[in-house]
Amino acid sequence: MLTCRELAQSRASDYLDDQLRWRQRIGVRFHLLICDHCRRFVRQLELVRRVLARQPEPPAAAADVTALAEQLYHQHQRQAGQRHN
Amino acid sequence: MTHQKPEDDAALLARLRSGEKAAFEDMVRRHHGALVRAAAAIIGDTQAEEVVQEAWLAAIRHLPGFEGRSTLKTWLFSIVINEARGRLRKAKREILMDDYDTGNAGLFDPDRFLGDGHWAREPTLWHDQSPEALLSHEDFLRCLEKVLDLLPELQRSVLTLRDYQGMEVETICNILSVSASNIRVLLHRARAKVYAMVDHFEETGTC
Repeated sequence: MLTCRELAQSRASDYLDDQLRWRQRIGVRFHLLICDHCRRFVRQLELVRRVLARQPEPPAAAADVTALAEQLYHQHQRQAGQRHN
Repeated sequence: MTHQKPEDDAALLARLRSGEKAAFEDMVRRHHGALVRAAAAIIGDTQAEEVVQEAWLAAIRHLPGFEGRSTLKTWLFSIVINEARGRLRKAKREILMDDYDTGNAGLFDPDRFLGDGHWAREPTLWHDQSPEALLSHEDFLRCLEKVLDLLPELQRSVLTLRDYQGMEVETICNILSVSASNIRVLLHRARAKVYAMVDHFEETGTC
């Protein structure tokens, strides 16, 4: 029978990624049915994943954006000119 | 020009193709930050900006041929990822076998468990029950940034590609040339470190 330690240390993350074989998956599900602590732990680990998914995007510095956009615009115009010639 | 709602790709593409200058700025503003983060996940922070610059130029070159079968975002990501992978192959990646870490699984503090495998200190209830609640604390954002910065490079790559970019494990294997089982180990280790930070933050308000 799966222990709390095994669940936390070597199954929970794979369980959330759906990377367990069915027998392991059933082992985890069964353990979660009977263990409040591990249920809480898995919920918290899932919350950590959702936090990571929603981290704010790193802001691009305004000056960089403008300069880069300018460069791309000019390249686009040059290419368009070449295509028409 | 600012948009209340992000305009759809078709409209932005039409503006780009017609050579409307503001469209280029809108496109860069919308995607640059996320592209840099994706590149950094693959090739490391120092080369990420350069990779994304190259990728932008390639994107403009190929813009006339882009048929809009995928979203603009997906298309831009694929260009960045290809560019970053190309460099990674050239660099022959001295990555850092110590990313696989020193011995012991060391994921959670071993003292958290008793000899028989039960919790010695069970997980405590967190005040913050949603990502929004956690991310609303400025201190938490700083702690998150810190813990991510401290991750070994490959762990950070895998965590970013999987949990931030939402890529499938299989795709990440291909991008990083790392086996699925190693990806899983790296993911687990990285998440465990972030978990420990959140747990500590919930208990003390610091990291």
